[in-house]
Parts: sequence; C-alpha cells; structure tokens
Amino acid sequence: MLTPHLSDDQIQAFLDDTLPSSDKLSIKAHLQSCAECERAVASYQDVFEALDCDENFDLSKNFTRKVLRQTHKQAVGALQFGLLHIFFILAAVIAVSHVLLTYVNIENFAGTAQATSGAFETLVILVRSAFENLGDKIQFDGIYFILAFIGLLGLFVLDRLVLKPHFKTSP
Amino acid sequence: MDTEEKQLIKQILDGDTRAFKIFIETYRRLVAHIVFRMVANSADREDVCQDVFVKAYQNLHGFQFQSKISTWLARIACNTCLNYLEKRRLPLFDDRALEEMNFVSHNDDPYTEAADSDINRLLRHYIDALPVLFRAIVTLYHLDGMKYEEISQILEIPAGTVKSYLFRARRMLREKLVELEQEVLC
Repeated sequence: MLTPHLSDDQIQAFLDDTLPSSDKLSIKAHLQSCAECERAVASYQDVFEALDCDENFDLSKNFTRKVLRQTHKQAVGALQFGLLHIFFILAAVIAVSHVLLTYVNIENFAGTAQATSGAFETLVILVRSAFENLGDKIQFDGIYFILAFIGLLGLFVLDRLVLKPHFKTSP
Repeated sequence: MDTEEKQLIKQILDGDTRAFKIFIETYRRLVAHIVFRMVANSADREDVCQDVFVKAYQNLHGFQFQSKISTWLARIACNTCLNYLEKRRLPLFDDRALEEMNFVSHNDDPYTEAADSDINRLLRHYIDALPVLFRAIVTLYHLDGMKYEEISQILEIPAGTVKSYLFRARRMLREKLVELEQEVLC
C-alpha cells in the first residue's frame, strides 16, 4: 500500500514541534522511507533557519539616549505650553476685568441680577466691591500692560533659568 | 506579569529616567525586530523605533497590566509601522500576491546579488518581499517566540488567521526556494 506524502501543514507543524508524540513518530517513520518528503522537510528547515536568524537588527549605540532626549524634550515642551496657557488665561482675565470696569455699568447689571437670583446677586456684589476697592488703591490705566510685561518677563526667566538648564543636563 | 515589571513601570511613571532606560534596553530588540522587518526603508527604521518608545512612554499611564508588557509594546510597534506605511501609501497587504507569488525584492536581481552567498541570505531577500502582515507574523513567531494568541492580540486578528498566514508565508518561501534550486539545476 502506498503511503501518501506529508502535507505542507504536517511538515510545518512537525518542525514547529506542535504535534502530539504519536504523530511525530509516524512522520519520522515516514521520512525514513520517503525521499521526496525528506527533501521537502530539508527545504522547510532552510526556511525555518532563515526565519529564526536574528540578523543585523541592532539599533545605533546612542539609541537609548536619543529616545530619552526626545521624551524629555516633549515633557519640557508640554510644561512650557502649559505655562504659556496660564499666562494667556491671566492676561485674558485682566483684559476682561478692565473692560468690565471701564465700559460696563455695574449698577444696572446688579439690578438685573437682583431680579433673577439672590445667589447671583451676592456674587455680583462681591465682584463689584472687589473691583471698586482695587480701583481705589491703584491707577488702572497702564497697569494691565505692566502686569502683562511682568508676566512675560517671569515666563522668560523661568524658561532660561529653570527649564533650559534642566533640559541640557538631561540624559 | 511579574512584580519586577510592575515595579519598573511604576518607577517610570514616577519620573525615574534610569527605569525608562532599563525599559528601553530590555525591549529595544523586540521593537527592532518588528520595525526592521516591517519597514523596508533603512533610513526611517531607527526613527520609527524611536516613535514606538516615545508613544509607549506617553501611554504607559494607561497600561492596565492585563497583558504582558512585551505584547503591549509589540502592538504599539506594529501599529506605528502600519501608520508609517499608510502615510507613505505603501501596500499593507495585497491578497493577489498570495496567488501570484508576486515577490518584489528590494534588489533588482537578488539571485545574482546573492549568488556567492548562502541560501540563508537569499531567503532573507524573499522574507523582506512578503506582504507586511506576513512579515510581522513570522517575526513575532520565529524571532520573538510568541504564541498564536499573543500575536493575535498584537495584530488584532483571530489566532486561526495568524496560524493560517504563518503557514502560507512559510509555504511561499519554500516554493520560492524550490524554484531557485530548480533554476540552479537547469
């Protein structure tokens, strides 16, 4: 009786060593008597060897350093971006306050608030008194520019004295 | 996952640069295997590897410890490579290639190129010419010793498909090898 040749899947599973021992034994027995299947196994072995070969896949020596620098740069960049956001939010608050104090009639606004809600009215009164007290103490014209300048200067100093040196000393 | 790996991740999340350095050193080979086999352009390979580690660093806080860190990182590597190939409009998987054995090696004439070399070197030309998913699967299976289930998680395809693609890839390579042997004999 002629024994059928081994299929590709059988040979691959045999070389992967994933077959049950009984199947492995019968394949081994078949290979001893079938030159064609033996050749097929040999060529598959060449393929497996090529696939198993850990060829020149290595990265450059300073790869780790490059990655660390990149992650650090991103972290510093995110921090600078965050500081810039804080600065712009502060600048926007100052500008809005200035517009409110200069152009909005707070008495009318408070009157409207009183008609709608008690809690809101209290809040408006609090804000109004805060602005009035502040307005009594300092001259508002030009103060916003000074504050903005100080803010920018602070940001610049923080960047030069804290962030840049920290970045330079990083890995 | 072992406690040592958990500890390492915790240290990285706490901002320990040395821990991240150990992480890179531990897994650079795994990432290099995947990227070098999936990205043909040698000039871009190292940049893609860097991107993989940067993405891992950025997303480490979201790691749920539900899989091995190698599986998670390999998934990032594969996705980064696929995105890279998509951006450059390179074919990800051409099913016709399976039928037509449409191997396109990076060299004009790989056989002439490797005539003086061994069969192993010649076969590597053909591994590089396999469809990208096949390359990813054979790499994860043969070089990184991963099981079908792990590869299935990484590539987000069923384990049965992983096995089928692996067997087909190896069959394609073997057929090519037989063809070459016949050419040599003639």
